Amino acid sequence: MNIVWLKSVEYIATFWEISLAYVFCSRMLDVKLSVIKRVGFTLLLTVLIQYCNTLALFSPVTSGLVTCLLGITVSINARGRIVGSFFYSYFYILFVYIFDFLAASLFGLLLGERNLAGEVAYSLSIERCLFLILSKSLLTAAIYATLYLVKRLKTIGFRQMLIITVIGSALGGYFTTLTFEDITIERTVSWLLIFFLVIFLYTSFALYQQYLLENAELKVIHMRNELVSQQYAELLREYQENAKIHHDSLNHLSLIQNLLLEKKYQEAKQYLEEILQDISFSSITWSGNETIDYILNRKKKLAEASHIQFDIASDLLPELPVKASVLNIVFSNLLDNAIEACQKIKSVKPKIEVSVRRVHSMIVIMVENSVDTIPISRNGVWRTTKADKRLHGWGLKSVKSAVESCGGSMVYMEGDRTFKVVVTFFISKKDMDG
Amino acid sequence: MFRVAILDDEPQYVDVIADVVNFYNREYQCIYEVHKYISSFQFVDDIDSGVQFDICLLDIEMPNVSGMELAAKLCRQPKTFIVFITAYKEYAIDGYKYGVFRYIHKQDLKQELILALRDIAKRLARETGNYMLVKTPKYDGKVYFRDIIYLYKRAKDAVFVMDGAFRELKVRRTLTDIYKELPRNEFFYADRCYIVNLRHIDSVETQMRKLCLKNGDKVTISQSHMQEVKDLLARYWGENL
Repeated sequence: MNIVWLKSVEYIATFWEISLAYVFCSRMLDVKLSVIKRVGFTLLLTVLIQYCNTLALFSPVTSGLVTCLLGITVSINARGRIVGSFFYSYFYILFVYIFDFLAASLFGLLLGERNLAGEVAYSLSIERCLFLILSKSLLTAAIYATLYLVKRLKTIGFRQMLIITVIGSALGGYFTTLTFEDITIERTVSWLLIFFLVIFLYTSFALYQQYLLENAELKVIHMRNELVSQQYAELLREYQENAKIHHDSLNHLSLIQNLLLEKKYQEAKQYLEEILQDISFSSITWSGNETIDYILNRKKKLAEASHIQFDIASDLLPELPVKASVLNIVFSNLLDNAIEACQKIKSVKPKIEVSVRRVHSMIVIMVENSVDTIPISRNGVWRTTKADKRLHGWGLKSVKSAVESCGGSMVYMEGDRTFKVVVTFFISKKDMDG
Repeated sequence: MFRVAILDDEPQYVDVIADVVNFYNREYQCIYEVHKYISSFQFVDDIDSGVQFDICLLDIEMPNVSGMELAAKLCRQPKTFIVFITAYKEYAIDGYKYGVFRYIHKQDLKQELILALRDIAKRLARETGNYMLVKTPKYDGKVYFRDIIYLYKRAKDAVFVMDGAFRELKVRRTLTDIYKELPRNEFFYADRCYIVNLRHIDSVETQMRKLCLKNGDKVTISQSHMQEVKDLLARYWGENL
């Protein structure tokens, strides 16, 4: 057969092989590669591989070089996921190896030539062309089957990728040598088994990763639910107390009236002071929002009982399009954190400043408290300094996720022995004007 | 030295407020020069004749000209801080249209007024000297950072969109060059061609990916920048309120 035809088949096979590599890597990493870039890189690598193949087929140097170049070109579009790009490029080359040798073994068995792998590796022939067609067809089928199998799985971690790489390379290397020596049915089947082993390991690791992630999410949901039910129980208790005060007020008033009629002014004054202490906390209007005012009054009372100075400066707010449950999470958590931080301070008089401000079409909430130590954030999760580590540390995380679910923002600032959390809600102009 | 006007139709209450300002002067070593008014006519006369105040402490419920009407007049002087001292916080909703800095409850006068004066002092200290020099065929002089709403690129020029007399100032400089002179905690690149002043962002339209600015203009930002801009805004107001 004409050598030009043989060469053309080789070029087409290589071009197809590299195109498939980009399909595999971009799908696994969930990145989009433009057609121009993809064709450009594919052509470049095809020419390079063909040049290397003139020296020797199945060369480890060629495979290494192609893995690197594939990794680099994929990582350009994978937003810095360099490790992932290189690993998937490597997996792909490993698949190429497996199916090249599987095809060579099958072909060898069919033709009854036990050293076919060596022959097709070093000479340009019709056998080599047929071998290429068979090997790339098997590869295409395997890649699409793999993509179908793993499309819903999460990306696996670095260590897990490394384990698969080492196992795959070791087995591939071992059977490559054997296949070059002599082709047998057992060795042919072994190539197929290596492929299934790699896929099996990947799927197992990915499923395990998914299991861990779901478990962690369940824990967070569970903790949040516990927090909410704790806060709800507190709120309910306070409401009941308030209802009791309201119910008792008639009795109080008639008693005061009696004391005044009997001209027992001192007793009446004393009695008034006593009941005022109980009911004053629930009566001050700060922002005009029932939930906010209720929590502010309750926490102010709690803080002042612990000898913490508690200043509130608030603007009157319009009706907020933010759920009461979100406001409850924000204010309860921030104020609880602030009070607990202040309770630990021994050296100076602890202080909490709460501001609720309207700025343009935004509501800005600031809670600033004195601290002995600044809280630590690791990987976005706040570490608690409290003894009961099970439920805490999630307070600020809970505030952040609640605020961001309403399109708001939460940031914190550290000052000289102060810690300030700023929460912003963005309100539409229409809602802001009431 | 900063000038403070106190206006209340009850002379005794003017003295009470002045005492708190003087107490603040002594405690925090500030110099707020106090000007007392018991008639809104007299106050309006002074304003109309060009007298400028840094802070106006106003009562809302007054005969003849109410505090709210005065705020509407004063909001044309963007450098004046208006503080309402009132027994009725309900007025807050209307006052925000006139950029009122704060509402102070008469019941908590001392505590709240001191907090307000402290915050104003912080802001005044920050803003004094915060300007850059700009030279254009129309204007040659200082441009205060607080007056810049945003900047954008038009061909080879940078255009300042201002809050004040000159709506737009066109300068033959690149945005990158100007950005070097701007305070980083206040200005940010919303887009390659737009630099926005955080203080003038009125609202954020998350769905539409737009920043609505004080003058009604809107600037588009990318989805990936959205949370970052919101955090920058929270940080800015956290430091400046």
